[in-house]
Parts: sequence; structure tokens; C-alpha cells
Amino acid sequence: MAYIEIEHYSKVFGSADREIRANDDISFNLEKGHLMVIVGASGAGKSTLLNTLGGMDSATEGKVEINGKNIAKYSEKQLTTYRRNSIGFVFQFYNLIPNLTTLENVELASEISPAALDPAETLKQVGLEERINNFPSQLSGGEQQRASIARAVAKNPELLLCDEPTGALDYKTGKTILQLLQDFSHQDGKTVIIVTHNAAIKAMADHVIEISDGKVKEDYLNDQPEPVADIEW
Amino acid sequence: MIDLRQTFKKNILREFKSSFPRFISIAILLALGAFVLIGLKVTGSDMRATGNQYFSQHKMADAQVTSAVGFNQKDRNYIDQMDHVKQSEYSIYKDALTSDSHKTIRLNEKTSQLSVYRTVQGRLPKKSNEIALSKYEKGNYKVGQHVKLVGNDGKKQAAGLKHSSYKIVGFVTSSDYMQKSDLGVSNNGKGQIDTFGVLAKSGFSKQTPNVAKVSYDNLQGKSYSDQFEKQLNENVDQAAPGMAKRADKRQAEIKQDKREQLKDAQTDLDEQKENVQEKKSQLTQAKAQLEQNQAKLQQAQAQLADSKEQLAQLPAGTQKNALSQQQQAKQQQISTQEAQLRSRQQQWQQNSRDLQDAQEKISASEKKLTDQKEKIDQISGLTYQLQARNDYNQGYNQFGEAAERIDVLSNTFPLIFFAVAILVTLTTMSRMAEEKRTDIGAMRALGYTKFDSMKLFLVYGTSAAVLGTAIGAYFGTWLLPERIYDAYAANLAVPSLQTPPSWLWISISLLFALLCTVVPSVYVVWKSLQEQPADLLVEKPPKAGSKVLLEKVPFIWKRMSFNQKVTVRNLFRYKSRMFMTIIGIFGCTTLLITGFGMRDSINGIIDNQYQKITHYDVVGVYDPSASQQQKDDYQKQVDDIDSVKKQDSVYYESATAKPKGSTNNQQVSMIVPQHQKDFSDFITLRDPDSHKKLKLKNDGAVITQKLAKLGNYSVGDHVSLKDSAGRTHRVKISGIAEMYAGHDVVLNSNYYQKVFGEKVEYNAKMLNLKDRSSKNIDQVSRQLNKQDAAVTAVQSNQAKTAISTVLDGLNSIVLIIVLASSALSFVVLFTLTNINVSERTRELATLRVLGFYQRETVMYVYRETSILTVLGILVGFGGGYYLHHFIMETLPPNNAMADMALHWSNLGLSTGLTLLFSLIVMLVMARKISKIDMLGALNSAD
Repeated sequence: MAYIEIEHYSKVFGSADREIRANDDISFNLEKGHLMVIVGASGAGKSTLLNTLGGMDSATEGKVEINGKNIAKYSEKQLTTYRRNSIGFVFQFYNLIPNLTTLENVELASEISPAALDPAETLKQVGLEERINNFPSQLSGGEQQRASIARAVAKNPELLLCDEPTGALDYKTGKTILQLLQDFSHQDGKTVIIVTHNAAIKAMADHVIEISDGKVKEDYLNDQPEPVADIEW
Repeated sequence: MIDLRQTFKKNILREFKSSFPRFISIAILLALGAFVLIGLKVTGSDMRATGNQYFSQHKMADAQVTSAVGFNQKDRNYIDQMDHVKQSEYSIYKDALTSDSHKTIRLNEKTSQLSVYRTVQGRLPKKSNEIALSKYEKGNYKVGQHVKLVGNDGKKQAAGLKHSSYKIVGFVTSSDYMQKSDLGVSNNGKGQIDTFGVLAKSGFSKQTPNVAKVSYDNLQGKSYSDQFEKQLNENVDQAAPGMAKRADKRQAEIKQDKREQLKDAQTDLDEQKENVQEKKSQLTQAKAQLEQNQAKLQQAQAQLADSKEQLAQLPAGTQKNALSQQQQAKQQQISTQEAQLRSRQQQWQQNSRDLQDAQEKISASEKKLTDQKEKIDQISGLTYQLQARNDYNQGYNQFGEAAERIDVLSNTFPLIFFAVAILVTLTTMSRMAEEKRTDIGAMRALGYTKFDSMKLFLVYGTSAAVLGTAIGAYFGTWLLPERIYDAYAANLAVPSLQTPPSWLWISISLLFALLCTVVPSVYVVWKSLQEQPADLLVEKPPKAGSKVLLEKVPFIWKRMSFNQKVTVRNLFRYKSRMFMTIIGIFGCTTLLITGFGMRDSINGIIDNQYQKITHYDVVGVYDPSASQQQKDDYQKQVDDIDSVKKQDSVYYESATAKPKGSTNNQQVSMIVPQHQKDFSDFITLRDPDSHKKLKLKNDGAVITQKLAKLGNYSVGDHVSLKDSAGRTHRVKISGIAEMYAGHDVVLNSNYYQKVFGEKVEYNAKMLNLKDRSSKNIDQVSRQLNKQDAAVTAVQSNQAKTAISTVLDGLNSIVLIIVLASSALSFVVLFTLTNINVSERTRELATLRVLGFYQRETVMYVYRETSILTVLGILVGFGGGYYLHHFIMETLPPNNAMADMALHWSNLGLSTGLTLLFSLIVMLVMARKISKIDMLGALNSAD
């Protein structure tokens, strides 16, 4: 059984006569430990899909089964518990809390997570051991994103969701971040989903989904994902 | 704001719609500020204006002179020529009881020039048997009905009145009787005048006027203005010594008259005495003659007996017969003479008895004359009481003081309201300007002018200010003044309040409102406009984090939980908002505590005064120069009253004092107890702070707290007391005693003698009653006043009723203050939390995404708010203590003092309310937080 099983899932906004189908009849599976890249243009419905997968919003129709649990019809509270225990998020903008140091930002996540990893250790993994007592404003963009990843990872989530994680970073820094994510999947065996409009990234994934107009256009597996270092865009 | 393009207008309109809660919050804050400011500022002047109109409608006299013996022509000439007297009108007044309800009614002669009566129904009396009653009797009587008036005994026709029954022809108002009950002191009924009536002059049987109404020609300004009151008091003070002299003169005249009458009687008596003397000598002469006659008769009898013997020795014969006949004739003659003598003797005895009677009568008359002479010598204390409005009309004073009190309130309460409103509005508007940074940037980039970009704020701020001020001004102009007026005028007979809008205060409020909405936002926008449009388009990064001082204390910092650390960091991150919240909550708690405290304090007056300090119920004042019999009757009456628990003799006098620095006289009860030891059973004289009992000393008097406060007196100072005759005495203060209602000066008999130069003559009975209900107190007072020796009965609970009425009214003011403060604290909490939440939307979204439950997210923000709220409340305790103290020092009338203690219930209630508002705001915020679009918030640039 796949780790993620989505069947005929749709997300509809608006009322019956003026409905907007942001995700329309989407179905796909994702194996545990795979790195998936979801590609699509702006407004294709990537973010809505990520929202549903991340338990930030419930589905309108269909089945969204994660690790055997169908979260499609979860209540607000159930969704929160799901996010709390199972999901780690990385965003384009790092969303670190400005008033907390790097370490405290990571602690903020580990505090509420039952299977949390050691925050300092996690920061060391992402190479920020020197910066643990700095405030976000004192970090560079790449460092902030690394801290953000550390925060997501420290919860020891089953699923790491990344929304344009390199969108605000320069090429070089972006690559190191992607490498970090790939390592997380391939070395630690975590399931990772990266949402992006950058088609070049597809090469690093085990599993690629292309979305357009709210529908799945392509769904294929990469038997030989390229190391991030080899990808160029 | 002319020529706004269509879309531009739409944008502004949308701003109103999208930030409606903010707009309304600002408007409410400003409305509250304006409401309290305008409301309190105008009430005092509204009241004075209403009073002034009422006084001029009634041509209220500036002063009045009363005399117990009435005024003769010389008195009238004297009064008319007193300095500055413009007009004078003389009339009669007389007290009686209504026979049906036993109310004490003061009957006044109809006046036409000064202190006139205005009819509210019917007309004024014309014929001798007509009467017009106070309009407050309208519920009890009807025009056309008759009212029966009786004397103090409740049966006989009242002295001085022509009829026993008068026909009601109308109902009137008067400026002289501004209180609804307790219109003044009377020796009739329970001692207090209940109501008044107006009669034609012919309605009185005695035609000598006993009151003179006077107006002055040198008074400027309106009633209650400093200028007016000062000049009036000066006039009265200047005239007082002359008035006292005039009274002395009149007293001398009366004595002279009486002495002359006495002299005539003496002459009569002397004549009678002479007569008696003459008769006495006649009697003595008559007695001598009688004795002579008797001797003669005895002689004749002896002769007769001799001749009888001779006759017996004579032989019978003609000679003998002749002799015998002769003898018989003689015998007869003697018998007649004897009878004559006897009757003369009887007559003499009769005359002698008569003489004795006459003598007795004369000596009785003589004694009477000497008695009368003594009495005439004793006649004293005739006074002509000249009193200014403030003194002859308690209501006038009370009304003016009430208006002044509100003026004092108006200088504190609105300040706090406005300060809090300004602070919060300021924060909100500058925050709004910061939020709109990118919008301004976009508009500038599109080519709109700087002024265009400001228009939104000008329109937004101005509308909020105008709307808020309009609402506040509307309610502030009538609602607050009328509620306050109702409270203060509850026991005053005054017309309904006039509430013209005060454009001055409305303009000031509007100006303040505009200052706090338009100025800060324009300032922030102006600052932003200095930047390049391109820079403006990039959102300002959130405030960077920094370590707080506490982190340098690892001892504490390390022990704190993660959440605590975060909270502490956040508290110090937004310092200005931290202070805003604390100040806002501080202000609201202060107002709540003050509001509740005002009610407790005034309630406390009654509790403290009548349970801990005043134990007596009635002081029955009698005339010490009444006959011994009358005084004995009075004492007997006191002894006969069942409900008397304890009684003692005291000297009681109502004097006045004029504390330093005040324009008005204060009524002071001067009391000299006969038995100092038991006096604490009647009044507890104790130190206000230590509650230690105060003893009366031989070298000074104990005065009560409020009097000391008014004149800023301390122990060792002297206070001047003016007795009812207008003579001033300096009294040294040996102690200051706790007292909440009225002023007392208590001294022992030794010190009295020292100050007044004469031995104290006890003139009153102080009584503690078993049944302390006002009904029983009235009953006892009435019984006492029926006595011939009675002067009046003073009830200790008079102040109680007045205070209770004020209290009832005050409750509605307190309610308004509490409601307004509650609204204020709610809006403050809401606005500040709202800003807090919107400023940290991204942070909250992050927490939500991380999987914080809703409660945890709310608490993440709300922990700070709670701490700040609690801090604000704690500081508010201090503020409430001071504000309450300040207000309760100034709010009570000059003759009352409030209980300053703050009750735990007050603190609890104020805290509870503030926490409740905080909780409600939290629930509202929880909804808002749960609605945050997580992805939207997180996917925007830092």
C-alpha cells in the first residue's frame, strides 16, 4: 500500500452556480520514502493540493489517504493534530518567528511534537550550529531557509511538504537547500513533496506530477533521480 | 476632498467596509470621550442657568430679615435705609398643622415684589379664607377643596390665623422653598416644615409683619457666580452688627414699654394699698369705739343691776311699780344696745376679714409685679436674623454646591476617558497608516500626488472623529446632565433641566478627536511619503527580535518554560503597545473602581454615621425662660415617652461658622453636654484615624472633621462661631472628631463659660430611642413640640433621608460611569488585541501550520495580553484609590464627608469585569485567529 493514496479528489471553492474547481478529480499514489516534485504554472492548483495534503484545508470530494488515514473529511481539530504529528512544512518565505532565536524557532516545533528530534542536533545537520543563538534578522536568506527546514524536520514528521523552497534564494543557495531535502528523503527515508513551478527540479525526484488547470497532466516515476549537484537551470 | 475620481472614491469606501470594526472602535472611543467630557462640562452650567431662570422668574429676594416679635415702623425704616438695599417687602408668616395629615405647614403672606409665588394651577388667594398650596400638595388636594389648619395641640384653631379652614384656590411654586421636604425649622409638629401655603394678608389675624424680603442694588453677575455671592455675603456681613444693635434697641423699647405698663400697675397697687391702710385705721377707730360702747353698756348693766337690787329692797307700791317699769325700760334699752353692739362687732369682724383679703391680694399683686419686673429684666435674645439666600434657603445652597461638585468631577473623569481614548486611537491610526504603506506606494507609483495618498486617512479620520463626536455630543448634551440633575435634584423642588448644546465643548471635543485620528495617521503617511515609491512597495520587515534584560539573569531565565520565555520576549518586543495596554486597562480599572467606590462611600456615610457615631435620635429644644411649670411639663413629657432609652440634658444651639477661604456660612450644631461621662452614649467623639475616644477639655472644644477640613483647622487653632443673634465667638479647637454628616462643635460647661462669659443654661433634651424608625422619631418630635415650653425638635436622621435620596440618584450616575468605563475597557482591549493579532498574522499562521491547536495559538498571543491586563489592573488599583479619594473629597456637599475606604467587593468586581471583557475579547480574537488563511499569510514576502 502506498504511503499517500489520492483518489478522485476535488477541491471546489465558491457556491454551486459560480464554482471554481481548484483541484479537479486528482488521483495519484506516493510510496513511502519517495521524493515527489509537483510542477505547474501559477494558478494551476499546486498550492491547493499542498493545502489539502498538509491538512490546512479539507477536501470537497474524493479520498485523501495518508498512511492509511483518510484526511479528506477531517475536522479542524483533527487536521491540526495531523499537522502537528505528521507534517513538516517549508515555505518560500521562511516564516521564522522574528522574536525567537534560531534554536528557539526549532524548539517551538519540537515542543509540541511527540517524536521530536533534538533541536540543536537538527540545526547541526543543516549546518547552522554556529548560528543557533542568532535571531532570524541576523541570518542570510539561505541560512533562514535552512533554519526553516530544521524546524520542519525537528518534528520528525512522516511527510515533509515544501512550497517553492528555493523561490526566494539565489541559484547556489537554492541548490544546497534542494540537496538538503533530497538527502532527507534518500538518506533518512522520509517522504518529501516539493511543489514548484521550476520544471528543472523534476530531475531530482523519484516521482513527478505535473498539474495544469487543477488536473493531473503527467504522473511518472524517475527510476534514476539525478543528484541535485548535477541539475542545472 | 473634492474631485475624487470614481475608483479612488470606491477604494476609500471599501476601506470603511473592510475595516469596519476598527472604524467603529475609533468612533466609539471618541464618542465615549466626548460623551463624558461634554456631559460633565455642561451639567454645572446647565444647572446654574436653570436655577438662575427659576430665581428671576420668582424675583427671588437676595436676603431676608426675620423677627420673632415682628417689625414696627422704626424697624422698617431702619431696614429700608440699610446700605445698598434696593427694594424691601414686608410680609407675615405663621406655622400651623394640617388637621388631616398633621403636616407642619408654613403659611406665608402673598408677596408681589420679592420672592413671589407663581401659580402652576388656579390662582393666588384674594379673600381672607383662601389659600394656595405648594405644587407638591397637588396629589393630596384639589382646587376648591378646603384645608383645615390647627394649632400645635392638633385641636384648636392655630394662633395668628383668622380662620380654621381655608379654601384652596391654586397651587404655586416658590424660589424660597427649594427643598421638597424639610423646608426649615419650626416649633410646630415634628420640628421641620413639611410644606407651605400662601394666604392673603387678611387671612392672618395678627397683622404685624415678621419677615422682610430684601434686594440689593450692588449685586452683579448671576446667582452662584463668585462675584454675586461674595458681594451678597459682604452686604449681609456688613449689615449684621447694625441689625444686632437694632434688635437690642427694639428689645430695650419693649422692656421700656413693659416697664411703663408695670409702673401703672404699681401706681394702682399703691393706691389700693393706701385705701387698705385707710380702712385699717378706720377699723382700728371703729374697734376702739366698739370697746367704748361695750364698756358703757357694761356700766349701764351694772347700774341696772344695782338699781334692781335697790328695787328689791323697796316695799311694793307705786314707787316700786314706777321704778320697776323704769328698770324694765332700761333693761330693754340695754338689750337693744347689746344687740346693736353685737351686730356692730360682727360687722367689724367682717370688715377686718375683708381687709385681710385685700391685704393678701395686694401682696400677691406685689409679688406678681416683682416677678414681672424680674422677667422684663430677663428678656434677652431678641434677634433680627438677616440671612443671605445661601442661609435662609438651604436648597439654594445645596443646588449651587451640587453644580460646583459636577464642575470638579468634570475636571477629572473626562481627562482619563479622553486620555485613554486618545492613546488607543493614536495607536490604531498610526498602525493603519503603516498597514497601508504598500497601498500608498502603489498609488504613488501610479502617479497619484502625495495629497491624494493622504486623502484616505483624512476622510477616514475625519469621519471617525465627526461620527464619534456627534454621538458623544448628542448623549453628552442631554443624557448625562439629566441623569446627574435627577440625582442631585431628587429632593429639590426645581424645574426640569435646560440642556442647550454647548458649542464650545462640542468644538473642543471635535478638535481633540480630529487631533487623535487625523494627525497621527497623516504624520505616519507623511513619513512614508519621504521614501521612494519603489521602497514603499516592499513591505516593512517586522520588528527584529532581540534579547531582553532578563536573559542576562540565567538563574531565572533557565528556569522559565519555553512558553514563558517567548511571552517575556514578546512583551518587550512591542514596548509601546505594552504601555498602551497597561495604560488603557489602568484607566478603565481606575474608572470602574472609582465608580463603584463612589456608591460604597456614600452608602458608608449612613452606616458609619448612624451606627458608629450618632446614637441619639432627637434633640428636644425648649425655652429655658419658660415658667418652671412648663419646663416641668416638658420633662414629664420626656419621661412619659415609652420609647426613650436614654436621655440627658444638653445645651444646644444652631450657630454658623465661616471657615477660612470659603464664601458660604456653614451651619454648626453647638452642643454642651451636662454629663460628659455619658455623652458617648449619644455621640461618639473619636479620632478619625486612630478611633481613640476624644475627651472634652476645659480649654477647648471638639469640632468635627469636615469643618476642620473646610477651614484647614488643626488642633490648637481657633474657629469663629456666630451665634443666632449674630455675635461672634472665638473657640479654640482641642480635638477633631470623626463625623460624616453635618458639623458639630462640642464643648464642656467650663469652656462654654470661658468663651461665652456666662454659665451654660441647658435648653435641650438629647434622646436615644428604642424604636429608631423615622416614623417613631417623628411621633416623638411631635409630642415634644406640643409642649408649651418647646422650641423645636432636631432629628439626627434629617441628613439620612437627604443622603439616601442623593444616593438613589447617584446610583444612576455610577451606572453610567461604570457602563462607559466598561465600554471603554472593552474597546481598548479589543482594539489593542486586534492590532496585535493583525500585526502578527504571519506569526500566528506559522504556529497554526506547525500544528498548534487553536487554544495554544490564542494563548501564544493572549498570554501577553493577560499579563498586561493584570498589570494594568494592579496599577489601576492604585489609580482607583487616588481618583476615588480625590473625588470623594470633593464630591460630597460642604456639610458631609464620605467614607473613604475601598471595599474588597469593589476591587473584586472591577477586576472581575475587566477580566470578563478580556475573556470576551479573547473569544472574538480566537475566531479571528481561526480564520487566518495560513497559506496566504505564509506565502507573502517578509
